[in-house]
Amino acid sequence: MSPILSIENLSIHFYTPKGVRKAVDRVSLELNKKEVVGVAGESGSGKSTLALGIMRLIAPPGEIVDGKIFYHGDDILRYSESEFNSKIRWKKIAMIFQGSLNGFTPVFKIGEQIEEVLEVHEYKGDFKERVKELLKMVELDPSVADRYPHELSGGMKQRAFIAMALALNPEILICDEPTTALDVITQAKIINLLKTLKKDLGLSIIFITHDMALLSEISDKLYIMYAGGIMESGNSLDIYKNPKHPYTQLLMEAIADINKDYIKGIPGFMPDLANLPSGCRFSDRCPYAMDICRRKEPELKKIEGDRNVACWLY
Amino acid sequence: MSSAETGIKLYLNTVLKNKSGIIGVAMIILFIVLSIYGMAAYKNVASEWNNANYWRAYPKVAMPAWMVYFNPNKIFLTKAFVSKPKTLYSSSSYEVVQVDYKFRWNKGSAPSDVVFYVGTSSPIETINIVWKKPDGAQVTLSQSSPSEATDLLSYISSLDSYISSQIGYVPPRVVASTLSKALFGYEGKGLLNGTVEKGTYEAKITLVVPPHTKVVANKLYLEGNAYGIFGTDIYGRPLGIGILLGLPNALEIGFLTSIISVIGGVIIGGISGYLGGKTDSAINWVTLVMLSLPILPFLVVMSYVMRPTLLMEALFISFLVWSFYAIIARSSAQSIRKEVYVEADKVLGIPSYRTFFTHFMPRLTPFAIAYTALGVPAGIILVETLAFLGLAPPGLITWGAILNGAEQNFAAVNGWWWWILFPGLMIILVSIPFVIIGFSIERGIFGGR
Amino acid sequence: MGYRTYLAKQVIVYITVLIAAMSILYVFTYPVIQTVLRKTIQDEALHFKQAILKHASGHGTLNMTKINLEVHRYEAQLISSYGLNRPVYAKYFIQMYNLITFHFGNAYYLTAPSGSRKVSAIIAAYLPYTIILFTTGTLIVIFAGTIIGLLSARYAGTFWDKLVPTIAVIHSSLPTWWLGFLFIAALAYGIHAFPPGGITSVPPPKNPLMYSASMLYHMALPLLAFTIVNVGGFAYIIRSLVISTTKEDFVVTAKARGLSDSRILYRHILKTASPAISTQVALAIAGSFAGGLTTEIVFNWHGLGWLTYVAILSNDLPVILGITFVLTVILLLALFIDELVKGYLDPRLKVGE
Ligand SMILES: Nc1ncnc2c1ncn2[C@@H]1O[C@H](COP(=O)(O)OP(=O)(O)O)[C@@H](O)[C@H]1O
Ligand SMILES: [Mg+2]
Repeated sequence: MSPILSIENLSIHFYTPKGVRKAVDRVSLELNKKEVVGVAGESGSGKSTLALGIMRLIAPPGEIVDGKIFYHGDDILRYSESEFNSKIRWKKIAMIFQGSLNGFTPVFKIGEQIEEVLEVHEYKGDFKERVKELLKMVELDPSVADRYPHELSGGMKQRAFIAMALALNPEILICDEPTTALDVITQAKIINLLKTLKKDLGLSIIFITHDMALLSEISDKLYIMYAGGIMESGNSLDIYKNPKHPYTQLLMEAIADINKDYIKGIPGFMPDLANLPSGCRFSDRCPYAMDICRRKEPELKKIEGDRNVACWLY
Repeated sequence: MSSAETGIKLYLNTVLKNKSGIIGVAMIILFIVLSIYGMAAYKNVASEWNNANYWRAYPKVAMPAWMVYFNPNKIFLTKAFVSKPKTLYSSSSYEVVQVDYKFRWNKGSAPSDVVFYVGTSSPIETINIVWKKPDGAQVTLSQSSPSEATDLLSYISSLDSYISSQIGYVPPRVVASTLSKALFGYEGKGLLNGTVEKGTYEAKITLVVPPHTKVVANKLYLEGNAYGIFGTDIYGRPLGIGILLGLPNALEIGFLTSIISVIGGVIIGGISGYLGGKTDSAINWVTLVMLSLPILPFLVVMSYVMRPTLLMEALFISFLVWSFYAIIARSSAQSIRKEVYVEADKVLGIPSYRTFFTHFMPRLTPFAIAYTALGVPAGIILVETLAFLGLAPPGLITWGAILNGAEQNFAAVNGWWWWILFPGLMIILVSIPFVIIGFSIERGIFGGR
Repeated sequence: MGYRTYLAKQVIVYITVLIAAMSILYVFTYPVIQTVLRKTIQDEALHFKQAILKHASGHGTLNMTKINLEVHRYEAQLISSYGLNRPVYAKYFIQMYNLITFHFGNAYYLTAPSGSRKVSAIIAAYLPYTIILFTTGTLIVIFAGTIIGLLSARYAGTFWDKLVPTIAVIHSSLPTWWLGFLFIAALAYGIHAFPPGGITSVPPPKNPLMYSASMLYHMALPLLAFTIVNVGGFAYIIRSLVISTTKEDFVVTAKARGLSDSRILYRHILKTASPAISTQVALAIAGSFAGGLTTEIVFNWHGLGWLTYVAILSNDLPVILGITFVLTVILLLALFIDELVKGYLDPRLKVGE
């Protein structure tokens, strides 16, 4: 079965006064139908940039400098902007944002904004009915359509945004930290909602978060990202059981253990993306760093089954 | 963001790194130097500014001197002539002294005025001038007990009768330049049409003075129609000096109003935005009240009621404009508050008055500096506007008052453009560096492009 | 909470603001007001006396004692109606009431075109012209400024983008009346392209269409000066508000939804920024008032600014005072309208956040 979305060697750079930040550096990723792919990594590792890159929303000073993104075998980076906008964006690939608590324009009603999406994409059918249907799908009262964003709670806003994301029956849903600003109970509810929707609608999901605990609940496949690059990828359960890359191991340890009441952070800081260390990008924080790690960059290589790791230890 | 990054230094750096910022700072320094120079060099002139007699010998409404280069035939500087006085007759009761001037006039237009200056050791009893044109025509001007310097307007009765004898009537609103045309024109109906007789003129001045009077100094001025870098006004006052002397006053009031109102406004608006809730609503209400007071009419009334000094004027203006800064500071404060609360929650627990000073005010400081810079020209413009209405603090030389003179003397109708142009340009020139600096700091804060 | 509740709340707020602003003016001008009122009473009493004398002489009976008594009684009546003989707090209420109902007393020297010496009548005669000029000017500035500001925010690095900061410098460094003065010298007296001042040509055209045309022609230069000075500042504000709104999250999500750039700019960003813009409109109105009024003087435009100048030249204090009170009300009215627009545009305000 060929993947529905396949990213090859995607590089996205930001041209800042302090230098070129390689926010996404030769990243490859595959998403199969009805699959949930998790992307995890500390804040600043380039996850959101990757997501925005897929949506082709990188604005100056950023630029997609290299790579291909295949959607059903078509390279969507070669589409013209207007073609991409009318055929792919939101219609086939929709997205829920890290900041989607502020994702609605504050001065329009929820219903108006969902209807606007339908209108812009020339949806055939009754707009009002569709809005009602969508709100029901995300377990919201239809009256929410007549409310302004600020009149809703955080959880309700996120549900409404999911409803808007589903408006055009997309195949792929990118969720960029969809629950970060929410309390734990609401978080769980949203995750459950996404699970249900995935099942009911046959969605394929790219789920981005820095919270490994959250990913364990939902993801089938996992990509671990650090400083713009993929460090490890593979089946979720395998990685949870047996993390290979030292960064993944530290990231796992950083999960709040229910038995301990503290969170262990990873020592050190993420390097400046405009000024990466030579060799492995994790070398300056890695407890197992060897000589070669500081000299030569490890390639992402297959070590067993579908497990790939970029580390000189393997 | 670390506190070092938010410090004043950073914003001073952004100003100085920026090319227009450097120009701005340089211009302000230049203005301050010019102010000091003006106050020192023209200290005495300042007190004589409103004394019309002091400016008698200066050409009235003369263009800037550099205009001569554009039309040397019609535009010229003042010419002065000296001659030896002769005693014609002396007795125990009086003496008759004669001063004889002879000069060539080749310019295409008449001087703007003619001033006869005779300095004597005791007052002159009568003066009699026989003016002889190149073609031989003669005009006689006379006056008893004249002052030392007499201009043509002081002989207006003699000249009016001469004019009406030639053209049949006396034109309305006669000014010095009209009278001068009469002295330099061809006799007949066309006396005042501006054609000038070229050739050698003669002015025989006969004085009757008390016995033993000495003529200390004497001069004949053919007033030019160009003088100084910025020309002169209707009293002959050189606008260059007026503009120079107006500079320190403008800067002083600009700085005073700006500092007082911005500090007041930023503190009040900052507290309002920081505290929120009831205090915020109350302060917001007060700023609305202040905003609804119309600044200019209010200042006009206050100038009327109290005749304020420069300092009081600055206080009044500050009282009326702080609310503008408070409103803007409040909205900045609200957005900073969101960040600071998040930060403070982490560091100190609950935000307190300590957070206000340690985390909050430092972030408002660059904002205050930007608005202090922008407030200077705002203050200057307000004061010049008041002065233009004739309500400058008494005894102050202001550009607004110079422009008021231009308005009252119909400078626009008469084409005296320099009287309008240069004082106004100075307002702009002084304002621009402050605006540029203010904008560049503002851009630094808000991250605009 | 609906728009109506919001409206009711704002009405109450603005009434309290009006009373407070008037009180501040009152306190600052208290001694002058007393003088003005005293003179007004003397003036009225004199008129009254003359009227009686005229009436009496017509009937051939002249009893001076009786007349003087009558005049005295009239004067006393006036004094108590103006509250001059009352304790300060009572005086405050009486005189504030008079001020808020536009009873400012009589002018010293000036008269209204109708011949009335009442300050309120004089002001009423000139006020419409100020309103016409100032409202037109402000609307032009708001529209032109918004368009230029949007263009410059949208097309970074282009002509518009560079234009706006430059004309904003003009705004903060140039007095409107001076520019007007310069225009008159150059464009009116210099090349005779515009009339040098006045409201219409003299004599005013009879035909209403011609009258309006003549008035527009006379408004052109003052409006040009007003617009040049103010449009840059306003465009600059629009530009920075739009640019800062563009950085908000909802803009990226709107783009992700496939909305076009112009739709995002003109619908989403502009509407979101509009409450902030209307706050700036309020500041701009209050801030450009002084310049606008003074411009009337150089253009010989017979509005309240010009009247102020004439009153200054003729030392007519009651008129100056009256104008200040009237303009406070006008300015407050403008701010109130602005507040209503803001409430209409921003759903967040209506819930009282
Ligand atoms: N607009 C931008 N301009 C400059 N640098 C940017 C911009 N957006 C993101 N970056 C850089 O890209 C890197 C990755 O950011 P991001 O994708 O937001 O990370 P994450 O989502 O993993 O937290 C960061 O180092 C950030 O500095
Ligand atoms: Mg992110």
